[in-house]
Amino acid sequence: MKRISSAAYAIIAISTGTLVLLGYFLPQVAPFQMILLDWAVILSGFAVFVGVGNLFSVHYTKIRTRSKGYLYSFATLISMLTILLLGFVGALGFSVFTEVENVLLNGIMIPVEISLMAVLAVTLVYSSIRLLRDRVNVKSIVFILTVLFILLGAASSPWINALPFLGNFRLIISQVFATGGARGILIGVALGALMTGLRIFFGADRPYGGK
Amino acid sequence: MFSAPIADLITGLFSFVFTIMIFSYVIGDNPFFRVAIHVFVGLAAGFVTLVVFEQIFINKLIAPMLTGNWTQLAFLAIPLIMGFLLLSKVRYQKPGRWVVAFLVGVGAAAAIAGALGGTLLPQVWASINLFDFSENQSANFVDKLVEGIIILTGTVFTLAYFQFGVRENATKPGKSSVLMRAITSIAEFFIAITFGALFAGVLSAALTALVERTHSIINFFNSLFFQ
Repeated sequence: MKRISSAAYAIIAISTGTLVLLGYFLPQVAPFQMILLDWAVILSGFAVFVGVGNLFSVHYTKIRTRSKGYLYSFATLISMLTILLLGFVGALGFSVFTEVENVLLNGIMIPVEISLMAVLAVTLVYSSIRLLRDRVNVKSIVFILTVLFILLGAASSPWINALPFLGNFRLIISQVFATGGARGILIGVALGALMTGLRIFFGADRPYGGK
Repeated sequence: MFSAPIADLITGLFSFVFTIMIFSYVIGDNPFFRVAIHVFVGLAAGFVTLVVFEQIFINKLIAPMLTGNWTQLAFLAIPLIMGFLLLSKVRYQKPGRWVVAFLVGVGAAAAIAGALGGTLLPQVWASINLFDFSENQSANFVDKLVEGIIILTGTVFTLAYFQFGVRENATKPGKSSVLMRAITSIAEFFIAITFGALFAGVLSAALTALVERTHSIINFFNSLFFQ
């Protein structure tokens, strides 16, 4: 019975995948592809609900069992429930809820996102210093020199821009050498994605369960 | 309920407090940073739920079901039933598994199409076009040729760098050939430059964010005490 259900899951995955893939090449199959993609979008919405429900459940369990750091979980749940309440009540036409929602969005969410990005600047500079301190070799020196040349080239300082070789050197680094490497990495990633997809198509990988 | 200046003040105050809480991470992990991150995670999860509810459930499911004909209703009933089966995965594994199989199938097809049409073919064509000199002037022919050779070398060697397979037999352990080791050394040079360029781009963006946040803190103090 287990083998039959496992084969059935594989048949569903392979047949839907084949229909969607054919839709990209055969116009006759495109309407079916659109229907399947629409269903997948709706199901992704349900999957988001499952994910958020799981997040809620994990933090709720932490609070209930008074696990380590449960006060942080309390902050997560309170903020999650507040924005959900404001959103759903605001959708009924109560403008005050929309205003509070905007305050939370512009006062907390966006500043926290930008601040995390800003902290990244400090972390990146610190990691560069550690790289030079802990692992001095040709590769790390080439890496740091590339970073310095590109940052210097991007700076809008008059005395830096007056240096005649810098602009050309920066262009050669970023548009020739870096392009070659980046193209190799991109092709490698695409080949990896292609192979992963094909393994699912041939039933070699079954991430939905079964052997 | 709020007048505009009051709403701005509260927004500015929240923005200032949370920015400082996140910046406190520079001196090390601390409770203020953790509270800010946990509040952010909660708000982000709630906000994503609201967006999904409006954009997908209302716009793609409920509204078409209420306004559409029987055929549309039948077509939308299928993902609705599948969705409830997916929700049941929280407690029971089996009923939702075939819905996951459906999603995996569609995802695999989209990944193959995206990888082929979005990355692989355009990048391969761009590599081929490096040596298309039909539209170039003869004056910079050599420049373009050298440029093309360097880019192609970088592409091929970087791809070869990620080949980790070696031949092994019973008498001697697997070891990469001299040619492969030479290719790997050159590829490391290209990869170091590529990651350096990417690093510089990310650092520039992060510095811009740092400047923006610092400016916002100064502005908040200015508007509070000097205006």
